[in-house]
Amino acid sequence: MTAGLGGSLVLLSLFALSALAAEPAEGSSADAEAWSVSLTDDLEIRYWIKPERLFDPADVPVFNYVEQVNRFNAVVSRGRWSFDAQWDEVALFANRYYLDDTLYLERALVLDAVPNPIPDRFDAYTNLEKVRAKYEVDAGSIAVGDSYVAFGRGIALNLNRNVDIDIDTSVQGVKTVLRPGAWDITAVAGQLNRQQVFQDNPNTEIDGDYRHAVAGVRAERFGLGPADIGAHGVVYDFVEDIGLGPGFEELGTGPDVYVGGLTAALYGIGGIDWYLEGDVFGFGEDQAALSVADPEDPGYAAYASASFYPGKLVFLVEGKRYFQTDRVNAELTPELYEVAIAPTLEYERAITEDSAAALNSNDQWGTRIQMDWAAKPGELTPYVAVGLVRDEELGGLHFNDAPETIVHPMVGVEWLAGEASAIINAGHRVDERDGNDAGADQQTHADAAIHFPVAVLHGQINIGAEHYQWGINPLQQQDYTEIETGWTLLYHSTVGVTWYTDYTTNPLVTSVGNLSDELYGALELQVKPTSSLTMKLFGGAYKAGIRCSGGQCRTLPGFEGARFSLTGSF
Amino acid sequence: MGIERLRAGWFGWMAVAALGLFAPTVSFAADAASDFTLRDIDGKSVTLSELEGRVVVMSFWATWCGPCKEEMPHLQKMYAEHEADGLTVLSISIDDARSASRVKPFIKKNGYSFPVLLDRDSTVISAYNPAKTLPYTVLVNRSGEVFKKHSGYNPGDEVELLEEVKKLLAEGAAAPAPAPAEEG
Repeated sequence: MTAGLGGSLVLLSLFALSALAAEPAEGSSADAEAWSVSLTDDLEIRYWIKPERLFDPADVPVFNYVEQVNRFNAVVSRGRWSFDAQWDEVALFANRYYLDDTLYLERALVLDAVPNPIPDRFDAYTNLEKVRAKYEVDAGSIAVGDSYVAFGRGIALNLNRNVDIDIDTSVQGVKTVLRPGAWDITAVAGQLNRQQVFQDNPNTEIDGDYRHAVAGVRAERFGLGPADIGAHGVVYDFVEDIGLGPGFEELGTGPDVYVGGLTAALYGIGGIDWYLEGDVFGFGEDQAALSVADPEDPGYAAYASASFYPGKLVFLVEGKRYFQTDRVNAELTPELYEVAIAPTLEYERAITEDSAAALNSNDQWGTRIQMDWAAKPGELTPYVAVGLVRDEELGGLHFNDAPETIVHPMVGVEWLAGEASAIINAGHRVDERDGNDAGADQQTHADAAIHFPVAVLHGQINIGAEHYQWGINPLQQQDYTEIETGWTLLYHSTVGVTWYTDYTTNPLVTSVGNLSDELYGALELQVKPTSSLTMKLFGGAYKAGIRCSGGQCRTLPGFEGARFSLTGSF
Repeated sequence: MGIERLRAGWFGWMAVAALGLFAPTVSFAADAASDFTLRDIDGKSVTLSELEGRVVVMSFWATWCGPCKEEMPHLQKMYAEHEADGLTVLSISIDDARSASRVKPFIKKNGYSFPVLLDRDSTVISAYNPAKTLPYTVLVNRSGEVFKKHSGYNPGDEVELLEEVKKLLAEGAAAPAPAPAEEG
């Protein structure tokens, strides 16, 4: 089935290419035959201070090392054509030592099975990470190579460039977008291409890419009265070996996951903007083994949002019901990315190691209501919100031993007044397990970003804090407190100095502070000589911990040492 | 204990570092802005090349980005004062598909009137700003060429941007092109 749909999409793409190429190319700036070049380079050099010693604490810090990462992006366009490429490179220095005339490598950068054009002795790795050719006209576009794609609210397919947490997975194949009249038709087929070189995290034991196969198509009809409607289908085939070959070997076999969905966006119906989506999930035999319920159970997802704007109030009401949907990501868990990410309705800054499980539950429903009051539109907007989630999943990849109900009220304000501003959020999250009268998990959190003028300078304070209090459960941990602060002084946009402190008593955090076991400090100098060139010099330490962005979470390691980064586009 | 540190390969890879350090100092002539078509928060289609003849400020942002929120009132003011002169502000949200429902309420509560487009799969920002830093501003002149790119926002940046916008608006100000017709 995957082979059939994938092949059909490729044929459709080729047909579309011929149709697009035949379109008259008149009266548009895109007709210009001038070459256009845009280059971006992002260089990082990090000196890692490692606490490990060879034999005893008095030993020289032999495991300290230097890591240099370079990411180079190029976009070259001419007329309706554009060509993109991303070249990544990482090298380790001081990563080896002699002990009694024997050479030891402290850490492997690349595993043997991974193709690497650089000889081992250089302790470096390079990779043409992304490459794409795209032809764009008014009636649509076709891209061959690496593309990003999302259908609906991302429940069936959501692959985007999420560099905030070092996740960048594209579809390497063919992506076609056709826009006949009021229609958008998107078709994509190819293999998943996860980035191999991390920019903000340590690169060790790069293990190659499992190129899972994916094919999908989505059709949307816009402007159907007050409605936009859409339908989509996606199939996935997961592979067990790295490299290009395994994905092709899956062609002709049954898909591991197939998803179909319908969407509707309704504007101003009853004074309300609506979005509705429903998806159904089917699973092949391989996936059945990962099921926590009846292996034959299909999955389904429903998501709805309604926003309305009475007077100075703005309401957003969201609801979700997901059952056996996160199984689509079960094969990918060790690879640290997800192919489909449903709306979580959660406040991402408050997500912890524990609450992340609720986001990835295979049996959950929830709702969230937020009311903003535009006291002074564009200047002062306080809000209140409350989320309610029911997580029914037990066992399997999920570690809950009882269903739980999560209630999460929040308040906040955005105050923007020229050179001064304050964005403040606070909330209290209660996670109550059924049949447990010994107390719930509770999290109190707050964060603030405050900016203000200081004579000719500009001050910025960023603070986030949370206190976590555990109820009784088999995985009992100790209560903990975390605080993160950043104090910045800026001279225009040219020069800035920031002092960071992290404090944590979270026993799940694996790093150790540089000021004390629980306290981390760091100083960063930022220089921006031109609008498109930024240099940063960082020295000190920050803590490890979970970080979420775009619905995906990663547990990031801590850092102690020095770091120089340079980002320029030209 | 006979430990001898071996520092291997420094010279070779410092060459790569040098490339990274000095390459950004190279400057190029103005480039044509890469064309794209996106849907706005009401489902209407907007194509960049249809705005040729107007000065375009493309501002990439997200609902979770604090500095973006600080910059937006200045963009609104600039848009309100200079739209008739030929300025278009394209506010491009890179909130991913999952959180797209939060974009329109944010715009509504703040009363912003500029077009707000949804780059839900990060295709457009990947072409203009692969590092995906936010906010990110691209200033395009009336000929459809990129005049300037700017990463981040700090108070005072809007003053510089306004001066540059005024300068570009003054070029060929005799015949500002109309805003593109909306289509379903």
